[in-house]
Amino acid sequence: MSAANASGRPPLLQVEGLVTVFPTRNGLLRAVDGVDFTLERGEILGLVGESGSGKSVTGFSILGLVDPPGRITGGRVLLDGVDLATLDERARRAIRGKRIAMIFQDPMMTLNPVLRIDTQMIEAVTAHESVGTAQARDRARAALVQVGIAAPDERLLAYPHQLSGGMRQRVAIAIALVNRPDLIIADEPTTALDVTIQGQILYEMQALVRESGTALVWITHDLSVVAGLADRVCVMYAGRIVEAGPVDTVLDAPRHPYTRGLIDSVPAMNPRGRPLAQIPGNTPSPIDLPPGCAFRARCGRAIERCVEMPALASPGDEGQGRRSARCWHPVPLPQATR
Amino acid sequence: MLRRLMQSTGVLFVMSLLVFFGVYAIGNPVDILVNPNADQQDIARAIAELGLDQPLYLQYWHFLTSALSGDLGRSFSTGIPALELIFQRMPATLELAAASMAIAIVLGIPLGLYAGLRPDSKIAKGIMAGSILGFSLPTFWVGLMLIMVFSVWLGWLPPTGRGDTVELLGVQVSFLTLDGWSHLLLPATNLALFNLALLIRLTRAGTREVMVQDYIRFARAKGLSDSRIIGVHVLKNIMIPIVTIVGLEFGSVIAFAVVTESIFAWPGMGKLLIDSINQLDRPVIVAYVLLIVLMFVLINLVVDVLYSLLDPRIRLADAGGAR
Repeated sequence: MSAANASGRPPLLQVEGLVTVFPTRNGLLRAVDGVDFTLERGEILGLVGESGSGKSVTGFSILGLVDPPGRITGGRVLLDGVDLATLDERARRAIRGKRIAMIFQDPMMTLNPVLRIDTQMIEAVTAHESVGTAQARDRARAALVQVGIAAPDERLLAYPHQLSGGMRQRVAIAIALVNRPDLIIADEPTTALDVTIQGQILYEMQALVRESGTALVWITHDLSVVAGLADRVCVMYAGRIVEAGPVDTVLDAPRHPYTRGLIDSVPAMNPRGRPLAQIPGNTPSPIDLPPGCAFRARCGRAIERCVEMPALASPGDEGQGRRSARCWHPVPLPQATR
Repeated sequence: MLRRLMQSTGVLFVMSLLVFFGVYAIGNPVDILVNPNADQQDIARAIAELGLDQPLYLQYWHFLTSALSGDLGRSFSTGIPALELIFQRMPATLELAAASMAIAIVLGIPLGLYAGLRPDSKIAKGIMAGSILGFSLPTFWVGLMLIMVFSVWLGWLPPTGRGDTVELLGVQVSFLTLDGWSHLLLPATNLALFNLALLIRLTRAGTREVMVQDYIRFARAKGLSDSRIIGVHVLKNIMIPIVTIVGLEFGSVIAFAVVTESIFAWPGMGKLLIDSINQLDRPVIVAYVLLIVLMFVLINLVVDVLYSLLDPRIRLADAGGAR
């Protein structure tokens, strides 16, 4: 991974060998176990995986918001080339909400029920800039307009319970946008919403970040969301990235058997009338994972060598763009199978 | 609101019945009031004077009709109207109760917050252990110990009485003089201990519950300072149970300051109640109990109003109908 892009500036976000663990009664749970990825300015990255694959913890680790007793024990997170771990808490707080904003999964839970929308938006502005309340309020209002909320003045005076789920998520997005961050981490923000609202919000988010040049990490378990939204995708399994690359390359011709399985599990990919495809077995317990590829117990292509951990490396199809997979025995390219 | 008012009236009525007949059942006040050497005629005259010669239901009827016009009867022993007696003593009790609640709130909420934010720290564990003592040690014993240590051994604080008082808005108060303060401190601390323990536990439980909510994490992700998160986001959410308890406990503290007032010879309503019970002074007992019931009803009302101010999800109309 190159430390600098074409313009000579370091990439916006570099995650290198990130390890986040949670001590439990049964042993150390390595929720994130050596995750690397890079994000350029304005880029949209899809972080895909099942529940428990470590994708959300990765998001929280970037912001330094892992709930105790969980902690980051290894790796680095660099924003504009600056290692966030070297900053003190004050400096990290100045980054949160200002340069990196986050949107959460459940809009019913992310807004404080006893504070008015204007209070919650204005404090997001005044936490980072010494502006007057009136000015912060104008910014908040503008952000609400930006996310397509009608009658923003009325909404500013409302309490969260007076708004619908979709509306609350828009407010949360407006709060994320209000300080014009360089990066937004969105942790499954549409999962809890109606399908129609999901589509709207996805479309609007994409338009908003493109327009403002904001980079976006979209955490989801839904490959179809990523297909329409992201530039690049990282597929996570048991705390590790197993395949990463441009979204079209990875989704059209996955090389890691797990990615293949995920794609085949999307019901729309199945011919009508046949049983739905599924990945056999269960997600392994993330405590005391055996060495080697974590997927090998469920993998139809596992070979003897899979007891060694493969590196996240190019599977030898350079023509397919900068794609890498963590597999000794990758799925052949489609042309080869036909 | 109307339903609420009718309920309250019903409660007042039932309480008056219970207390009136209850006190009657305990014993005959004439035995205590009249000079033991009095002859039969004197006794009969005393009974007639107090209206005790009439059948009980008639006595109650008289009490009820005059109560409706605001007259709860005269004390058997002193002849002073019962309400006047109580109102004379009320400022002392209110002052004691307010001081003890203030101590409980000012210490309890910060200690509870600390214990909730750092549940595994040694200090937090110490606070919680202390709160168990606050719950379980009997008030009278703690009162005696306080007198023992601070008045007898150390000689820092006076054990009894109200000290110098100052007139404020026509009422005698202690808290404006240094001497009054020194008299107030021990009984108020004694009375505060239970509520202090209660508030610590309540605040701690609320804090722990709120701290893991997504909206706290979201507030962190916004880059808010800890003081803003704790002072606004957490505190406003845990205020609802705290206000309830503070309201109800304020009532209890006034009503049940009896023990503390007796130990510290604090000239409040509780002391009056004990004296009245000893003399079977029925009008004063009945008036006292009815007043306390009325006070609880009013406090509940205030708590409901505070709810709707604190929690936008509760409308006052709902609160009136639901309880």
